[in-house]
Amino acid sequence: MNYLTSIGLEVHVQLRTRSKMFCGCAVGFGAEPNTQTCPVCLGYPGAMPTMNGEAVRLTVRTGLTIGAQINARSKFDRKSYFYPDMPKNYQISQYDQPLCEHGSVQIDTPAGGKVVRIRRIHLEEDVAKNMHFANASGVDFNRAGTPLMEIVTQPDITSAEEAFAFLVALKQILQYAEVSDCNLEEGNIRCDVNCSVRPEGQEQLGTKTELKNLNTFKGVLNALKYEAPRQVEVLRRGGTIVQETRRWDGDAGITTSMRTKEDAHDYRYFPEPDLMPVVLAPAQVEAWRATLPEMPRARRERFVSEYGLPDYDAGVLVADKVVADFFEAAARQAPNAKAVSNWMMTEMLRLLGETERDIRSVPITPQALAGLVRLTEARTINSNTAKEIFAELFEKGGDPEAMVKQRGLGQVSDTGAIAALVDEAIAENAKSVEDYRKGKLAAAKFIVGQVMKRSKGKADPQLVTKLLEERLAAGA
Amino acid sequence: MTPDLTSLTVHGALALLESKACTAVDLVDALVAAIAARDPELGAYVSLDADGARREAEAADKARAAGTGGRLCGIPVAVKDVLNVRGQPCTCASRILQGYVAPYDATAIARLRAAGAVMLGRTNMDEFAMGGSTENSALKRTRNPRHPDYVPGGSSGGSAAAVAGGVALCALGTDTGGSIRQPAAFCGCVGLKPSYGRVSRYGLTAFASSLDQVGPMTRTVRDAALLQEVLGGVDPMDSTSVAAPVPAYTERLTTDLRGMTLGVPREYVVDGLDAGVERAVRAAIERCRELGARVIEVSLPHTRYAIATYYVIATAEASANLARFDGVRYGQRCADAADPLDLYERTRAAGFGPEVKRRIILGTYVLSSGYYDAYYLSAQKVRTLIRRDFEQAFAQCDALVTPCTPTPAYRFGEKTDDPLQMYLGDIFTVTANLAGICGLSVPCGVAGGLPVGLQILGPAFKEEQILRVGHAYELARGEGWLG
Amino acid sequence: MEPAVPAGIRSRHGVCVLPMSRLQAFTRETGMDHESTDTSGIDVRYVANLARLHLTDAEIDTFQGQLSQIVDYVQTINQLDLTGIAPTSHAHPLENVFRADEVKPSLDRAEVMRNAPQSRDGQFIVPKIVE
Repeated sequence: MNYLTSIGLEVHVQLRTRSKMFCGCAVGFGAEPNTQTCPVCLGYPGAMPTMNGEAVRLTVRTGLTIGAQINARSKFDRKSYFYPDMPKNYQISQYDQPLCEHGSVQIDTPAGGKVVRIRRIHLEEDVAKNMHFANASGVDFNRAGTPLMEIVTQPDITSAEEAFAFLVALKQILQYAEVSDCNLEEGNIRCDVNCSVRPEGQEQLGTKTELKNLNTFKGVLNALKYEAPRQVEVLRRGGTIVQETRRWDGDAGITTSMRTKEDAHDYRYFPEPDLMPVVLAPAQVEAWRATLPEMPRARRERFVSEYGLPDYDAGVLVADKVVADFFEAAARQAPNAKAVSNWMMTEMLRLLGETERDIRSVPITPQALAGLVRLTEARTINSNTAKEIFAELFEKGGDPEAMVKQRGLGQVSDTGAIAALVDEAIAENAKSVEDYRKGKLAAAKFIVGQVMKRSKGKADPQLVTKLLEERLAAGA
Repeated sequence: MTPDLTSLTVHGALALLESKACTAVDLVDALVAAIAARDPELGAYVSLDADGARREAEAADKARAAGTGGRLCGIPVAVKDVLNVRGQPCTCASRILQGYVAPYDATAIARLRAAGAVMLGRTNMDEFAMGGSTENSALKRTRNPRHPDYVPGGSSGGSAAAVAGGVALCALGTDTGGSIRQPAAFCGCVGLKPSYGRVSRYGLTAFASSLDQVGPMTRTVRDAALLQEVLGGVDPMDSTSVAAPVPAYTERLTTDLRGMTLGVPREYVVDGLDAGVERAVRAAIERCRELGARVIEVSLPHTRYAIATYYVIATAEASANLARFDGVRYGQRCADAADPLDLYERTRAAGFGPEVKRRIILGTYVLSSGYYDAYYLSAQKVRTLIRRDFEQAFAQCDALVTPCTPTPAYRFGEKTDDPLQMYLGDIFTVTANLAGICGLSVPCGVAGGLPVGLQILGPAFKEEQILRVGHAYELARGEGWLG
Repeated sequence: MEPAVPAGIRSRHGVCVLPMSRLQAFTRETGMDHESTDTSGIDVRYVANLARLHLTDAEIDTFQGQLSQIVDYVQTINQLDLTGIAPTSHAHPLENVFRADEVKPSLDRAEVMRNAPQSRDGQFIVPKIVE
């Protein structure tokens, strides 16, 4: 019997704000423990929350980018549970009136495009960070109160690979909308996963398990690659799936059952009396909609039509907004967008990968890359020289056209000068000439190499080949 | 001859300060001496910062001399132990907050400071403001200044006893279901519960966030009006505070009530109403008529559901508000906890008194899965009906006049074993909190030798109307009301 | 829509607030005394666990009786027809009360740690959390 997998994701995204959700403490990663705290985010007696309007705007903006319905009226609720990382032992969240509902995200699967429906997006506050010592735990409330947007999907995802593709697509959207820094190392995007399986033909979803400790997108992928077959195996053996929370152990590559408390899910939600509802006028929502940037899917299509890039290349470039922005800035100043794309796809991404750097942190500018393309298109320099210059720009920056001029790197395209070098080479390599005439066409390449050597690499190799072939054909 | 500085009104003290007949330091010294003499018996204060108060008084005297003093420059204020004052303890009369020192000022405190007031000491209360007799304090017993065997009321019992008992000129209280008005009535002083949203709650340790208000407790209505002018106004730190203009209340007081219509809610005359209370309140209403007010009967038909509604909403909110007291970040913690759960359960078991525990359990229950709709949601709907009752009543009159409490103060221990009976005593006061309107209690005579309070209720943000009624009545009543 | 108050102790105007002196009579007549209140549905032990309150057996016994009586009393609100009535969660209908996204100074950590029952290296210390 075949089994179908249903996966739903709850993605927590840290919003790009300066201050916390309900107080003026700075949001930041890496500060000394408990130095970004105040009576509000420490849950002190008498402290009251005040709502960060920017966090509301960013959440609505996210909703708009995924075509969600923006609720005219939305409210905050208290979600009660006791845990040492909770300053008030309730979390201010949104229960039945979230800011956004009913959106969708398109993903690419091997079988083609697919739509994952988004159930809701709500806004809440993050909890503190616990650190574990030998005999005790420490709590750092710097993170407590950071604005978190929770994006909840429908269980439309049917494989680990789709879940991964969804997260990649979502991250792109969030980056494009500039609502989050999407820094995975700093925990800007965290994810809970619900997974269930059911026999093919069965309408109703199977019993789901919730997976925790999925710190990376790869973690989600690997955990689901383990969990779905595990459930199928249990069912095949005649067992039943228990609704439970399971912890992903990345080292062992398995999920294990976590202890569950019987009352864990009585959150006693009720409307937060300290905060007033959010009421969004249609005009406000439309004004925000008008500021939306182009989304990755649209940009990819435009790259194909506007710059004549292959769809694959366009997809690679738009995957990271900053990379796509770099490409586009360079392409606008260069005579050949495809050539810019080739530099991006090959040298740029290779060097970024090798050096583990972010495109924002390398000195090369779009202007410089455009200049480099101008030089190669005009055949002022040959490709080897261009690669060397690119590597230098990547490391140190600079203006390629000035570099070529100063160092005399321009390739020699003077037919007379090259012809003299060709004649010299023919004269000194009689053996190769003979081989060529006997039909060993590869021998010509050797002679071209000799000419290049004499020119100190500056001769235009195409011109050298052309002149050599003319000479040899003429029987010189 | 030197006047007795401890028996002054705020306005009286300001007049002496202005005429240089006394200094703020004199006021503090006189009150500190009175506290030393009387408070061991009275029990109004839980802590006193005499040195700090003296320093603040010295600064106030300098400011006054320099002509930079605010409206309350040099006036010592007693503060209910539920409001955060930077550098001072704030125990809420609970064991669980022993050791906590507030790192910030409540907005109400900041406003008093900006007006030049001096923070004198902190007053006793029912633990976390839960109770009506101050018997729920984990710290000490506060006695009714009119009779040592009787409770001072609560939860702001320490503030009321201090003002009525000659150890404070004025005080701050808080009122969630009557906790300013009822002790004011029991002790015989003036208590104003402003409209919800009128005074910032920032820094007020929350009991029930949608009902709590900070307000003044004073010896005269005029003093309450003055303090309220200073306390009122929107605060960016409290999202529920309302940006309605704060009128100059003291300038709107009148000696008569001509042109005013007062409503008497027929549902507030109940069988359990003490005969002496009823007599005193009827006489007060008659006095208002003589002052020129038109008196009509009105109806608040959902009054009968008010106590039930109040105890569902207040305890639900309290159950969440008090969840933060867990022994992790401040306050008391149990010894040798095995794990966080053990830490919570034993810290809270040892830290909270029985009434707080009862209310946390009730509030947790009414929010819990399967019961929310039947209790919490229903109570919120009844709250809508109670608000409408008042809207309809205020369409016919400018203010309502009622007894503040069904009975005068009772003896210690009389109701401690029967919480429901204790709750039912809040019937006349909880409605104002549910509706978000303002209320004032003014002494209007005695019953069985104990003070009786006349409650005056007004529409939201119309404090000037109830202060006007209270002031005119108070003048007509005169000084000899205590008999 | 009358509350379950015996006519004999109803007020002159039908208010269900009880005269204090007659409360005992009321609880007798309505069966709201300790023995007969177990049907009210509150399980004090379970709810106290939700609220993270350790109660002694004696406390549970006392609270069960008292709270059953109180729960019965508050149930009177469900005698009203509340169809179509909107709930009130705030006394006044404000909306969109926002704060600008500006950083304000945080507290001094030393001051924060002075309030901590137990701390080490600027962190609050709690018993070991086992997930």
